[in-house]
Amino acid sequence: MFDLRKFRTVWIWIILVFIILVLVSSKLGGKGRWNPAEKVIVEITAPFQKFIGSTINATEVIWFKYFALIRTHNENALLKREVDLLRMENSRYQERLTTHERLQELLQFKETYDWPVLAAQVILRDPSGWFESVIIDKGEDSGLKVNMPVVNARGVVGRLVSVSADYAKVLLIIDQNSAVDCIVQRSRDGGILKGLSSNVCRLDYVLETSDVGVGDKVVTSGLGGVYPKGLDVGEVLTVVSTAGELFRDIKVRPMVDFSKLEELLVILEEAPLANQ
Amino acid sequence: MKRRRLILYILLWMVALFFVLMKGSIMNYIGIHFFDIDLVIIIITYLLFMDAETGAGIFALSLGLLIDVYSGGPLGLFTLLYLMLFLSIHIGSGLLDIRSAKGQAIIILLAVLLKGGLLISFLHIFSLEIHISYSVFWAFAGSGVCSGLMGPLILRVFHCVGTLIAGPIEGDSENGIWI
Repeated sequence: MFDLRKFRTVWIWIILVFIILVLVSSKLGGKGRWNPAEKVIVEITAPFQKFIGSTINATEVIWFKYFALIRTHNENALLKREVDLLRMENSRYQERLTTHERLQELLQFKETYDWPVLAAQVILRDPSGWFESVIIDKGEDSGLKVNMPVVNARGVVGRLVSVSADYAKVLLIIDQNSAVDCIVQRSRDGGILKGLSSNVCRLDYVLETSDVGVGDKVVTSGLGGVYPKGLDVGEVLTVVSTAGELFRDIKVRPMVDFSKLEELLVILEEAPLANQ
Repeated sequence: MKRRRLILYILLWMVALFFVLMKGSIMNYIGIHFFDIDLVIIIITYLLFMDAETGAGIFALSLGLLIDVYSGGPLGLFTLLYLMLFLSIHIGSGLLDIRSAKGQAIIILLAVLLKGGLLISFLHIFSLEIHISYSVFWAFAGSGVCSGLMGPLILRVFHCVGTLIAGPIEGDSENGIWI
């Protein structure tokens, strides 16, 4: 049976191919210019093309920038976290470095003097504000006993006044109840160093006839049965002579910075040290 | 109810313990030794406000002992001081309205000033040579005023926490507290 529909479709395809061939052949050898019909088509369709293209471009830009921003934001947060971590790490290293320097100083002290010493850490300060004492993290179990002298790399810190199994209380030389028998290193004049609960101590019982000047170094005398001889205590800050007085009024600035006590050394010797 | 109160006492004790242990380091860090906002006095006032005289007495005694243990002063000095302060606050709470913010501020202010005065007296009585300059008295006055002003606020916080833990205090509503 003859199928009219199939016959029509074949002819439509033949006509379309023919048109295409005519169009292609008309361009062959030409300069690629549009003919008027093409121009009309281009003029009509190009704006749509342009609009669609720019829309796609805009969408693409917004889309990618949005995602890029999210990525940047995440990256920023990640970098900030990393910076924080690095800062913390840096701070830890700095702390280790300063601790190392302090311990190095303590080690030098230990090597300079021939006494058996034990390093301890300050864990608490006097809570009353009226007395000057600290609690350290070593006690009887580590061999500490009452009256043992406590020093750091700069000089005398104080002495142990109470000791428990694992902790001990150190009475600082700046406490008003503390008294250290001292001598002025240059002139060998003796006196008793008393605390004033501040960064300055008083050197009592130094005779008017003594030769003590500002800047003179004050060291322990070895008398008194607690501190060994020759430990640095402080430096003479002021010397005042009053007419008619038997003793001079001498103020001493301690070598140790008591506001920054961290590591201390306890000299593990009792009273006999005083006579060395 | 008693168990809940016990929990509250323990909590207050822990707060005071933390305060006492940290106080020395904080004061050293700040560099002001005699400026003293005393949380122990505020807690004693709060316990008396809760009508817990025994609890307040035990608290004063234990905290005084604790400070004595850690301080470089003679043992018993701060125990005696805080017991005296407890008695003073107890007497003061009878004379002034401890349930009003004004009464609390005055009681705490006077207690802090009294603490300074008593401490100097005790140190002289016990023949301890303490060098005291005029600035110390200014520090006392400053501490008293600051503690007095902060006291009612801190008591308010304690009251809220205390109500949460141990329930409302008897007579809260009828006496119209915190006016």
